[in-house]
Amino acid sequence: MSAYRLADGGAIDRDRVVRFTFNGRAMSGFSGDTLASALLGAGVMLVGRSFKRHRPRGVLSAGPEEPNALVGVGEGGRFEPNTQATQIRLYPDLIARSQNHWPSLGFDALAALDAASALFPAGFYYKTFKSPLRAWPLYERVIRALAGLGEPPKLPDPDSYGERFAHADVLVVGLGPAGLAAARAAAEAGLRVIAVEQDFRPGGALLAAATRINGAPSDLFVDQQASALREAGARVLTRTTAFGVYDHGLVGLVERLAEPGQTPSGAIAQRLWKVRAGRIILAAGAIERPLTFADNDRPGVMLAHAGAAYAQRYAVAAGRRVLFVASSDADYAALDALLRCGVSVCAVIDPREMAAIAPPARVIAARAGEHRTETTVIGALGGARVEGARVRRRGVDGTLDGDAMLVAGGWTPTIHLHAHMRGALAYDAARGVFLPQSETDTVRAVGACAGVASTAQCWRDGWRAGADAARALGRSAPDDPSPEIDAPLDEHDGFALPIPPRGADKQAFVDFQNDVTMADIALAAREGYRAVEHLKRYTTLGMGADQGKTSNLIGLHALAATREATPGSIGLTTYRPPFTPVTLSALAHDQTGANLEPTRRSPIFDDLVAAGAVMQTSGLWLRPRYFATHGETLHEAALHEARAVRTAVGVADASTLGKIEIAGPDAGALIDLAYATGVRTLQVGKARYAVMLNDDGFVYDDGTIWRLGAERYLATASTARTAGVLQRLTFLRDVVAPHYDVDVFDATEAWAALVVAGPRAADVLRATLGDVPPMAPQAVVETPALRIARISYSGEHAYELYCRPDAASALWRNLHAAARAAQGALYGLEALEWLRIEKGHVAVGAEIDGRTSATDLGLKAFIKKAPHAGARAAQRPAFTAEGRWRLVGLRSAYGADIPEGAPLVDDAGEQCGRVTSSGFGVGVGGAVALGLMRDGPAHHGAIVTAASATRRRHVRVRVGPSCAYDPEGARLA
Amino acid sequence: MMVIPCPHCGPRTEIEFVFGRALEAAHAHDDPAAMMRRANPAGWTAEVWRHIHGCGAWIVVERNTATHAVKGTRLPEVPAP
Repeated sequence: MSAYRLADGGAIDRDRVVRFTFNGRAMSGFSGDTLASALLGAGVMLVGRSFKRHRPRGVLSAGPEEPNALVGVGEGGRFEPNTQATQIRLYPDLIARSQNHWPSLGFDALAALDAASALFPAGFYYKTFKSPLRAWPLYERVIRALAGLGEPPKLPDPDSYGERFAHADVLVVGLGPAGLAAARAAAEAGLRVIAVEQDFRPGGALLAAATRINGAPSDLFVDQQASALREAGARVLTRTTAFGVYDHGLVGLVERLAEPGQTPSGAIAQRLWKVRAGRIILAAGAIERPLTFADNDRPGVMLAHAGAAYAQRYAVAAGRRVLFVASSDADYAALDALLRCGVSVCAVIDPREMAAIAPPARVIAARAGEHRTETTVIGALGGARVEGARVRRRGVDGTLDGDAMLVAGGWTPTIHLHAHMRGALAYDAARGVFLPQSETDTVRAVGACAGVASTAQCWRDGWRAGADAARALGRSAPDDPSPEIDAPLDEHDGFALPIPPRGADKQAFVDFQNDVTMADIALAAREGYRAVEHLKRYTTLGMGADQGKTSNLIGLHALAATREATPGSIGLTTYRPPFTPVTLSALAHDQTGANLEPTRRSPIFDDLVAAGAVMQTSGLWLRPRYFATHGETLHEAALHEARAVRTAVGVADASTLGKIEIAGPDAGALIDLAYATGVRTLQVGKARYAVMLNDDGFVYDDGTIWRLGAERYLATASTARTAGVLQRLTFLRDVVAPHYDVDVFDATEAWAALVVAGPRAADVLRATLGDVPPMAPQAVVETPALRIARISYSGEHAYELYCRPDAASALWRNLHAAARAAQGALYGLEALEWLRIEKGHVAVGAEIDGRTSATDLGLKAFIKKAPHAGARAAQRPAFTAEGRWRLVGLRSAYGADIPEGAPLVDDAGEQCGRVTSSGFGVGVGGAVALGLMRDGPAHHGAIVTAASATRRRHVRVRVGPSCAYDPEGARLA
Repeated sequence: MMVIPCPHCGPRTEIEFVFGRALEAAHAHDDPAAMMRRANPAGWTAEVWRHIHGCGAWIVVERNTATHAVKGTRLPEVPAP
C-alpha cells in the first residue's frame, strides 16, 4: 500500500487489484479507480507537460473539466491521444503514457521554453517569425514540430461503433441529487425517461462529500434511487455523455461501453445516441475553479473538492501534508470530508478574518493542524511537486510547508447544454457567475447548474422539474419523498463570490491547458483585445480539449478587472457542442468503409462478373467498363467490343439507366411541362429522344420517352441524373402544377435493361425471342414481361430490352449466346463511350455539364416553341450571344490520341475551348473526340491544338461537325 | 436537426427531407429574375421541401430561419393563374 492510499474507505474493491502501465512502468490500482486516482494512489503526481511552456503538470480535478492530466492510452489502432486521466475507468492491462515532452516526462528538454517564456507572450505567433519573409518555411517546420497536443493514432481503429435513435418524454442529464430526483419524479409519473450520467457511477457531488441521507451514507441512497429508476421503467445510462443539444430537442449522447484504449468485451466500443427528447432537464452540476497565484499550476495543486473526491471515493490522499485553501464557508464541507477520510491537513488558509467565518466551519477547521485566517496564498513552492505555499497575512509574507494544496476558488455552473440552443443567461453579480435565465422551449436547468447551492435544495429543485414535466404531459405528479439530507454546511452558498483575480503575474495561470496567464490577459487587454471573443482568439484562453471549463470565468473576471467593467456587461464566448471531446469513430459509427454509402448492382451483376466484366463506379452503381475475356488490356478489349458493335452485334447491360413511369390523365401535360422536346405528337408505341432543361435554362439531362399507352409513358434518365430527374418531375407536379392528375414512379429497379446493337441486332433478337414483329426505328413493343424499343445510342441498329429483374439473367445469357453465334461480343462503358463520341452523342458530366445550353450542344432541333420549364431562362441574352462555347467534333490530325480534358489552343496561343470526351473511333478509323469551342460550328475545318500541360502532350486536332460517323443515319434505317 | 410534420406521414426527422427552395421562388420557377430575387428573411418563411425518404411528396414548410422553429406544413396549393 502506498503512502497515498488511505487505509480504508472509498468505493473501490481492494480485493481486485488492477495492473496497468504508465510510461512503461508497471503499476497497480483497484477496481473502481480511475487512471487519475490510481496514479495519485501510487504517488504519481507529475503526469504531463503543458502545451506551450512544457511546465510540469499534475492532476487538477477529478472530472471532465481536467485541463492537465492528458494522456495517450491504448496501442495500435486503439490508441487514443489527449484523454483525460480523470475520465478513464481503470481496466486491467491499461497502457497509458504522458504527452508533450522529450525525451522523458521527468526531464523535458523543451522545458527550456518555460525559462524563455518572456519570448512567448499572448499572440506571439502573430507578432514574431515575420521576417525575413523567406525564412518562414524554416520557422514553419520548427513550429509545426513543436505545436500540437498528443499524436494521432497511426493505424485504423479495429473496433465497431454503434448508433441508436431513441425518443423520450424527459431526458435528464446528470445524476447528482437534482438529476436523480428529476428522473425519479418523471419516471414514477409514468413518463418515458432517459437519464444519463457521464461518470461510471451516479451520484455526482454526493460521491465527493461526507453527506448522509436518511441516516446512512449517501452511496446507499444513490444506489436505491438508480434501482428505483430502472424499476419505474427509466433507461439509466452511465458512462454516457450528453455532448450537444440541437434543434427540436435532439440531444447527442456518447455511451462508452469500452474505456479509451480498451478492447471491447461486447460487440462495440462506443454507441452514439440520437435522442429526441420532449423535455431536457439539465442537472449537470457545477465545476470548481482554481485560484490564481504564482505557480498555481505546480503538480500537487488541486481543486479542493477534487481532493475530497479522491479521498472519499477512491481512498486516495492528494498529499501527506495537505494545505487547504478556502474561499467561503461552503468549502469547509470538502475539508470535513478530507478529515473524516483521514487525510492529514496541516493548515487551512482563509482570506477572511475569523469572525467572518461561520462557526461550524471553524469547528471543522479546528480538526486540522492550524487555521490561518486573513491569509492569502501568493505563490506555490516547488517544481515537479508542490513543496509549500508562500502566504501573506496583513502585508507580511511567510511560507507554509506542504506537499499538496487543495484550492477552492468558487463554482461555475455547467450551463453548456442550456447555451447550445442559445438559452438566455443572466449574470448574477453577487456570486460572479452566469445562470440560465429562463427555460428555453425544451431545456430546464435544475440544481447546481441553475445556481442552487445546497444538496437538499438540489433534490427538491430536481423533483419539482420532474413533477412539472409530468403535469405538463397530463400525468399526476408523485409526492416528493423528501429524503432527510445531512450535509455539512449545506445552507452555505458555495457560489459566493471569491476574491476577484487581479494582477499581471506571468506565473499565475488561468488556462492551464493553453498556458494562458494573468499577464497574457493583461497584455491582450492592453493591446486592445477587449472583447471576450477577441481575448479568446488572441490568447487561446478556453481553447483545447477542455474548452476552458475551469478557466473561462476566471479569464472573464480578469478581463473585466482590466476594463473596470463587470463580466455581465462583457458576456461569455459562445458555447458550442461537444461538451467534452467525442471520438470521430463514434460520430462515424458504422458508416465507414463499405458501409459509407450503398453499392448498387445490376440484377445480372453475377453474370457480368462471370463474363469477365471489369467494373467501374458510376454514382453508387457498379458498371462493366470492359470484358477482359482473353487477358486483353482496356484498350484492346474496348477495340474489339466496339468493332463487334459496328461490324456484327454487341450486347450490353443498361440496367442502371433511370426508368421513370409517368401515368394518368395529365401524364402528357406533365411531360410537356418538364421536357423541352415536344411529345404531344408522340404516338402510342413510339419513343422519342427528349431534352430536359433546368430552371436556369441549361440542359439538365437527356433521355428517351416511350409512349406505352394513351396515358402511360416511360421516361429514361441518365444513370447519374435519375434522382434529379425524379426530383424535377415531382417538383413540377406537386408545386408548379398540383392540379395535374398524374403519378410519377421511379421504376429503375423494377426493370433490367439489356441492349442489343449492331447490324445483326435483329437476328440476335429473333434468335433469342423467336418471332418478333419487325420494328421501325423508334418503335416500342410492350408485353407483360418485356418492353422493347428500337432506339440507339451507339449509332447502329439497336434495341433496348426491359424485363423483370429475375428474368434478366436468362435473357442476358441467351442474348450472349446468340450474339456469339453471330460473331458478336459483350461490350462495356469504354466501348460505348467510343461509339457515342464518334456518333456525336452528348453525355451527362462531359458535355452536359450544367453550363451548356441546348443550342451549345447542337440540340436546338429538339427544343419546342411551346412553353416548358426553363424556356424563359434559356431566352436570356447570354444564351444567344456570340462567343459561346459550342459542341464540335475533333479528329486527330496525325493520328495521336486526343487528351481528354485538354484545353483547345488556337494558333495565336489563346484558349478557344476544351476537349470534353475522347476515344478511338472504330467507325471512322482514328482518334476522335468531342469538345466545346468558342463559336465552334463556325470553325469547322480549322486545326487547333489540344494542349495538355498535365500530361505534357500537344495534339493537333481538326475541328468538324460533332457527328463523325454515319451523319446521314443510314445505319439506323 | 428539425422535426418536420409531413402532412402525409406525420412528424419526421429532418434527414428524411431535402430542401427545395423558398416558396416564392418555387412559384416563380419560370421567371429567372424573380427566381433569384427573394426576401431571405431572418424569421418566418415558407419553403418547399421534399419528403425524399418518406412519401416522396413536396410540401410547404413554414419555418423560422432564425430559430429553426417549424410552425406547420401543408401541401402546395394550386397557384393563382
